Amino acid sequence: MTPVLELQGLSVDLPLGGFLSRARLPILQDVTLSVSQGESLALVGESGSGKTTLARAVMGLQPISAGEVRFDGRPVADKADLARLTRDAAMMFQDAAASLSPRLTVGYLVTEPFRIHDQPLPSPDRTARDLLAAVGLPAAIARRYPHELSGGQARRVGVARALALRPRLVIADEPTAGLDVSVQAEVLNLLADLRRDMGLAYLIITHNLALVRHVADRIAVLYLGRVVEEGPTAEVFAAPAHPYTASLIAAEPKPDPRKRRADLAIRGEVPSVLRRPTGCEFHTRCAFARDICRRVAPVLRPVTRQRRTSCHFAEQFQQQGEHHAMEN
Amino acid sequence: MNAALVVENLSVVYRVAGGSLQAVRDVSLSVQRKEVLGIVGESGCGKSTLAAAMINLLPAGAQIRQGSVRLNGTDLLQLPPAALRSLRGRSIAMVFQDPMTAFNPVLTIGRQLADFSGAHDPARATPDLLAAMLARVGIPDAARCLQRYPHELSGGMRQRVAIAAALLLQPDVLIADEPTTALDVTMEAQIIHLLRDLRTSFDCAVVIVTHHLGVIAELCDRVAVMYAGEVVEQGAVDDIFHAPLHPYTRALLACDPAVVDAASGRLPTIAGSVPDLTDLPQGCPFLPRCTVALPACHQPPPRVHLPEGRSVLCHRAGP
Repeated sequence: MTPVLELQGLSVDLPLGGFLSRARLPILQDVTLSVSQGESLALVGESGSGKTTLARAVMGLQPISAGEVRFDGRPVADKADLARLTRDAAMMFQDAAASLSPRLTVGYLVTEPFRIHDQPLPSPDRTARDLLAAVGLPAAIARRYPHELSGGQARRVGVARALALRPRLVIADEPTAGLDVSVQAEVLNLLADLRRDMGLAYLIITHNLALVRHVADRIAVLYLGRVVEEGPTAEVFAAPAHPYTASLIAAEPKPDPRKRRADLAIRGEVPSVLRRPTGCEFHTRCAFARDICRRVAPVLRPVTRQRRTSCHFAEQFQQQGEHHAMEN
Repeated sequence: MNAALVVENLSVVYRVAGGSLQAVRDVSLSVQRKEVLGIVGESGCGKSTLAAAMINLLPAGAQIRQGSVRLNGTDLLQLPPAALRSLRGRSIAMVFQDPMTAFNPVLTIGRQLADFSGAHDPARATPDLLAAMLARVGIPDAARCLQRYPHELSGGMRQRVAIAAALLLQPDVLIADEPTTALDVTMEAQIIHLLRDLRTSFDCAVVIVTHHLGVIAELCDRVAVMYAGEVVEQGAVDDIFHAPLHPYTRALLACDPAVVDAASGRLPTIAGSVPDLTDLPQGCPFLPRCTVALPACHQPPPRVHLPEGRSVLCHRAGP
């Protein structure tokens, strides 16, 4: 399958600020990922891991310092390429209610992408009705204003807006954050239906691992702006090859009081990008860190045919993990 | 056993255009020292209003229709403002969802903590005691943290400081409204551990309001499930998660993405939507969404009391 979106060695840095200073701070480092048609890739990591910067860089909202973004096999080099990308790739924002202008009706909002991209819109009312129907909202909602919507409805309007121009790729930033569990389930079902019916590719940015398990075919874990593990979701969850992935999975509260954890898998928080640790950047929080981890930075390498990880001890770690899974 | 906080038959309404919105309806519950009570429900079920009523911090426009909130026997809802102020912080404290807006951005952490505790007891506002409390909630380099401003701390650190502030005067009851919602999973796990650990070492009762079922399962001893302003089921956490009796509790637990098998493809949902709290039906408010409704459900459901403090508000649970 041809990838819809490819990132090759993508790096982003931000100016450090300070008078006459030209120093720049690396935020994303050498990220290589791809999303094929009809495929769903989840990008996970804690706050400050660079997830949102990556989405912004793909959408041309953030200058790239090295590497390239390819869309439909062609590099995004100039303004015309970018216009094509923003038309064929849509963004679903985290705060759905805040991304809708309060003075416009829902009917206008869902057809706004046509106006922005100068696309023909022969009958706005009918288009609005069809789009709202596609996300399971009644036509009457077209006359309402954003403040009259519930959280779940606002999220659906955000999805309808993203789908307006029949995109090939949807980038969703925390699509279920702040929603009740029953509404989360509805949004996830909707995303799955749309993928089946329209062959959409998804890039889903989230720190909710329960969500990843349900919607993503593949998962990429970011730590301090680098991919530390990547592979098929089921395989990664079954036997994570990087200790960071394992501790993210373990940190998630399990909705069963009989499975309470006695001890914490991970402590502290992500180090500042201003003071990146030497060697493996995760060694300061890693329970398995050895001498080599403090000195030598591991490279991202394949562990099986479909999986990559950057841990010196990935093979041993994975075996231990499998032992553990069997004991449980 | 003596309960630290007892809520009895509490009803709270909000005045809205054209009537009143019944946010909390006839809620009775209690929490004991060293116990963590979880209040769970979807948006708009009245859980945050209930939490605010527990410390008598209801927003303007809210009106208490009936009931009492007794803290060690004193009804907080009847106290004059001055007496209430001296109890808040000292005997009952609250941690809010957003740790950023809980602090004044132009004062250092140390100054604000000194203000909180100094207002009640100046002897406890010394930098040493404040730093010791920050260290207690897991803040590295606590003495330096006192010199910092809120924006210099991460979200998780700010929430730890908020918890430290609430515990400074060793309250009998700590109320936390969505304390981990704004945090990463790794920090959420750490805050859960911290709260679990603190309730024993501080000998206080903890009330957690959340919509996250995982947080309830990890942290709470007892749970109250709210729907449309009412507590529809309450009991020990293990009973609620492993043998839910109310159809709403069952539906809520079933649709959590964390429990559903990923291979199943589709997630169960709860059809329909929450009822309009300004115009509630006479019978069970869950009736339109209930899959096991009886003809009797058009009448108000009975509260069925079961052993070990468990109760269910459902016709089906009756004998």
